[in-house]
Amino acid sequence: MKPAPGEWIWSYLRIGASAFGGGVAALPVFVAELSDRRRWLTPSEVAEAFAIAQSIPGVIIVNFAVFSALRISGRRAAVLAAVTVAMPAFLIILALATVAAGHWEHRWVAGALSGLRPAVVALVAAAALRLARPGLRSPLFLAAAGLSAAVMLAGWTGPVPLILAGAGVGLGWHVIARRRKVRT
Amino acid sequence: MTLYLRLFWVFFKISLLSVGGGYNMVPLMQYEVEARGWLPPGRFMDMMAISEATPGPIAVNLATFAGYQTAGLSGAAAATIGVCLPGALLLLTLGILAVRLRDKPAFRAAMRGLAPALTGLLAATGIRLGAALIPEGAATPSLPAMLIFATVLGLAVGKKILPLPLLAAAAAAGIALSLA
Repeated sequence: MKPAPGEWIWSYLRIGASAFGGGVAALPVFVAELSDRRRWLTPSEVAEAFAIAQSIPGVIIVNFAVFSALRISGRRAAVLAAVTVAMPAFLIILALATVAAGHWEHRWVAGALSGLRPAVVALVAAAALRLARPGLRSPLFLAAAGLSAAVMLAGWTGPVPLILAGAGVGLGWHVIARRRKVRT
Repeated sequence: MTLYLRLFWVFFKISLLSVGGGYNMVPLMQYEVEARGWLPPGRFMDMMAISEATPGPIAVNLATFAGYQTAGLSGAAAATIGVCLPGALLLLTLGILAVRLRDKPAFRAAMRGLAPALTGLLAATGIRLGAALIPEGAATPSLPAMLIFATVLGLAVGKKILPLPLLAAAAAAGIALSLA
């Protein structure tokens, strides 16, 4: 049975308005809304949709909304789900940007930002360490990561060629390894 | 190309090249936005803090803000649509087939190659943003800034504390220091 559009539009708005921190942090919100509250998907279907959303390009939460709405109610619903799940963030940031416009230099705002900026740098560093963890024992991984950081810091290219090169090397390695296996 | 089209295209490209979401998008976003003069590094960090502290996808928060700062409401809309579209289009055209893509050995191999490249990029972005903390004429960031950096890094990595409480504490520390 397909749920009424009003129902799921409301659900995706709720998800968009309550998923703090984005990405992986949003999974419990999806389970709570689509599975526990509405029973449109089983928890394992939610987990599967989430894994898909993470493994294709784009914004995880938007991908998840599109894929789950596709499952729940079809294509038209999927398009609307993308719009509704992004809408709260869009409106909140617009409101903040409008309000903040004249107040960046305000004493309290500037004070808060002077504490927030180093914290953000630390969060980026923490994300890099998290990504590096599975590769810490592989000299090849560390060398490739070091090369990528050095090329970027030296300003030789931007991130786009490095991302494409990384994926290309992985793919090339795979193709060569498979050919060898076929031959032997 | 008009500015709106350029905003749309740049954010479409950023999104199309980012798999796994979250911080994986940050190096591309920071580079593209700074290279075009849309946001200085300082404002980018402010925006990341705000994105972590407000609901919704971080990528949408950042796109909306950068678009708005660059070209007002229509710019915000163009950038946001651009960032949401690649994944949505892929899923609408591939549909359930996307499920199988994930299990393809070739796809996994490409992701394995991507991991070290991305690790390096994130580290480089951290260094670039860190360099933007250094006040003009100084050699290092201020002592409080370095202390906040070390504390947040230690708590995020060692104790796995979530970003939101860490940012709240950092903002409070910043305000307290500015009043002292």
